[in-house]
Amino acid sequence: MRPMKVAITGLTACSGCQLTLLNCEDELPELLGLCELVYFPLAESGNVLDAQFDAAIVEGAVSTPKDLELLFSLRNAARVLVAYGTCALFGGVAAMNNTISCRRDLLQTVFGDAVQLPESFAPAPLANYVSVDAAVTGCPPEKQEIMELVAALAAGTLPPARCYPVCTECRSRENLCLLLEKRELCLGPVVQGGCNARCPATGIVCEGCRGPVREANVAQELELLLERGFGREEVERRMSRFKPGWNYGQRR
Amino acid sequence: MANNFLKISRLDQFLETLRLFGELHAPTVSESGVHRFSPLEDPDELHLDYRRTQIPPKKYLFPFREEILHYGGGGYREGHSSAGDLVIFGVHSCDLEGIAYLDRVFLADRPDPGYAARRSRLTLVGIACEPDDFCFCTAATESASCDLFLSAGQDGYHITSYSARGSALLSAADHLLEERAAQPSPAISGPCYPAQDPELRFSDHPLWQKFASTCVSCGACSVCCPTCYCFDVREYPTLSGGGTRIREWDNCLFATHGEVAGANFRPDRLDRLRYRFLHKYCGFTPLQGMSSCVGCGRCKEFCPVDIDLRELTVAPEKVEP
Amino acid sequence: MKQPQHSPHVPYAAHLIERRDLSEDTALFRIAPEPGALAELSSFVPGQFVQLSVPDAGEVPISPADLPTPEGTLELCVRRVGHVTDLLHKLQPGAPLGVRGPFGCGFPLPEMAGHPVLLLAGGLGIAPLRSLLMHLLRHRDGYGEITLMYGAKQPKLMLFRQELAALAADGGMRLYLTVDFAPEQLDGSFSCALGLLPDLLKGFRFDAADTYAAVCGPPPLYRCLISDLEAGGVAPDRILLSLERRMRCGVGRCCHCGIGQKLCCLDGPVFRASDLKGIPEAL
Repeated sequence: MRPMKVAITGLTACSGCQLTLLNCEDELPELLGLCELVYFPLAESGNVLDAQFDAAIVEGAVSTPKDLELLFSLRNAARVLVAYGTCALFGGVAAMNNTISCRRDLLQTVFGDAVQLPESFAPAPLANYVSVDAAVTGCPPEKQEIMELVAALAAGTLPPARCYPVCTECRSRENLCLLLEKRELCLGPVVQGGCNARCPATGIVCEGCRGPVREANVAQELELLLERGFGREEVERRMSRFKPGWNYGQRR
Repeated sequence: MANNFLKISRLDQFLETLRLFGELHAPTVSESGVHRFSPLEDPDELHLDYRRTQIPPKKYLFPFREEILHYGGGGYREGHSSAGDLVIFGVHSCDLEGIAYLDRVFLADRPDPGYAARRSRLTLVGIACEPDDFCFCTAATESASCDLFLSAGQDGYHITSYSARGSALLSAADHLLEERAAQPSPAISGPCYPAQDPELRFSDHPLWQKFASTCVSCGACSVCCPTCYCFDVREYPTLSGGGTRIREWDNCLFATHGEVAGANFRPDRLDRLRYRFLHKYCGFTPLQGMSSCVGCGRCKEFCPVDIDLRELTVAPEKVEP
Repeated sequence: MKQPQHSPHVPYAAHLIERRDLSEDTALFRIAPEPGALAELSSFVPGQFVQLSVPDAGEVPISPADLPTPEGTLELCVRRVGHVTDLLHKLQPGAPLGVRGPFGCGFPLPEMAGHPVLLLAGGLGIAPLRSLLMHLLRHRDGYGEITLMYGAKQPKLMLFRQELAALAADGGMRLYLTVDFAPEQLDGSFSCALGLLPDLLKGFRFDAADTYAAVCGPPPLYRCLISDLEAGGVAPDRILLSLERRMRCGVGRCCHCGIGQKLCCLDGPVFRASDLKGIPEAL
């Protein structure tokens, strides 16, 4: 079987998703047997961008003209475009203040008044600009889900989606429910599972790094948190950490 | 008359005897304070006064996630179900009835191989309990769906055997037991909540709308239910070229539960709640007409929004305008 | 030594013999299972389903479009519409597959014997009904008049149209075709009515009291056709519907396919309209 031609790269992001892939040391030899890494700047492996790819795995949000340019060229060259990680899917950490701050003010805070400000716009998910064929969520994604994706791409398919919230795995692991028992600000009920409740298993609330689960009952989660004495502003700030613009009236 | 009474002072020795029949599991408390069944390393870890574990013992027979098939070399083969001999000590009668219900599902016509293998190596020792505010039963009950059942007496337990394996356990522990006059045993339990009229799912009870609006579809009610067994099946290719088919606990409140490619037969949460009501209290083929609620009270205790489907069967109180 | 029972989970190995495209998104797949599958497959009754495994993607319930051949070869008419069928449509002849079954209850053939049968198919609903049709035609003397009414959105989405026309020409059945609309110029070899399936039924005179009707199509079609058939005099327990659900296991355990208190995988997928009364969520 011909190895598939793959591009792996990042836009506005911390490169953590790509590093997570590189950290799959045990699986890398097998992975390299399936993939020809035509373009993977972070790993200094391949720099050919004018080829056709079987798959482009793209981390990060879109926030600069350069991001857009790279994204369009990858979209045009790739059969399958994968939004890789929470930023690529939802905007992520870079987008958390999208709804409350002005881009220009942010740029001035960072670069000052004197210099010419670089061109930049509110960080947005890939799907705002191009069609996305597959997604792996998480900040960073779970190793297992990355491997599932690569194996499925090599087999000509995509991994089947998990459609349950963090609570499902959390309860099944016999964790203490931080929302009910400790009255903490846990986002488990509205956040996509698949992480095996990694954080609540160690006593840390779900911060929502995997983004919303399908048909999340956001309005009820908000109500639950308000009942437990959290302020609306605090709840919204926490929920926006990995995805701006939740619909707080949504019940399905 | 055979020896049938275990003095509390000999409980530790009795547990040691149980270990001869398999790895001993019992109710304990986790570091974070969650009641659970787990391997009993030290009798001091035993929490026999527990009310309910978060996850019922169904986890031993029907694990949350299981590799049911492996694919490779052009064919599928059965996944490995590692089953060793297991003794679970201290199971309440509701959970025993839960296992009896699952037996009817998984051991009937074309038995489930993994479940059957694990079930055949499982020894169940039940124990009497007192209902709390969440329990749906009102009095202590005894279940016969076990190998041994321990009912509380003065300074110890009266033991009843309900199987050949139970009798073997009693023989092995005979030197620890003494003879006492049997006390009248409590009512033998079964499904705790009676079967309901399926038409009730279309009632105009206002709670239907309320539950549909407040349910967060977290899945806790199914995960923690001793008789919920809906499962999803998914297949994942592996890097080495083969594949794995898993089955995983599912919940009828998830959006995908009634979905087919291109349509959803239960598009709204209300449809899904009706489905849950119907399955739980009215039963599906071939257990139609049977309630599967054993009354453990877990769904009520673990629901983040206090949904108790039983309230739908009680006529709403008339509120004067 | 007693042969150990074949596990209900494990598919028999099979491979793809050939595929024939029937429309842009639908193809007929001929599949050869290993000989071990034959004992179970030979019990197939039209209307039952098999679980088709496409390695790396998973399993889907499919109602065969014809009776298995004596060697066990299956014909499956599959639309490219989801995760598993998408990969199936990419496969080349020789590709490994898996098959379990058949499962569920098919059409009540002994009861239908001697009676006229009216088959009503909408869109892809022709697939399960084709196996019934083939059975009826191969046992032509055992049944009364056979009529197939088949409606599709437009001519190019009408599956098996040449083949059905040929079968009708042989004289064993009456064939009525209709399309919702016809954007393309129809060639001379193909003629059909313009309109919906219920319109076709309205003008049809038949011995309703003696007839069995077999219906398969999208849910809105059922609601419409059931009331028309009943109004026309067909008894509700002689209106047979083949329903679609997403069975995960096929053996009554995964509980995704509940229809009222019945399970589509055990009690169905063929139901009598009379059994579905009082189950509004069925259709």
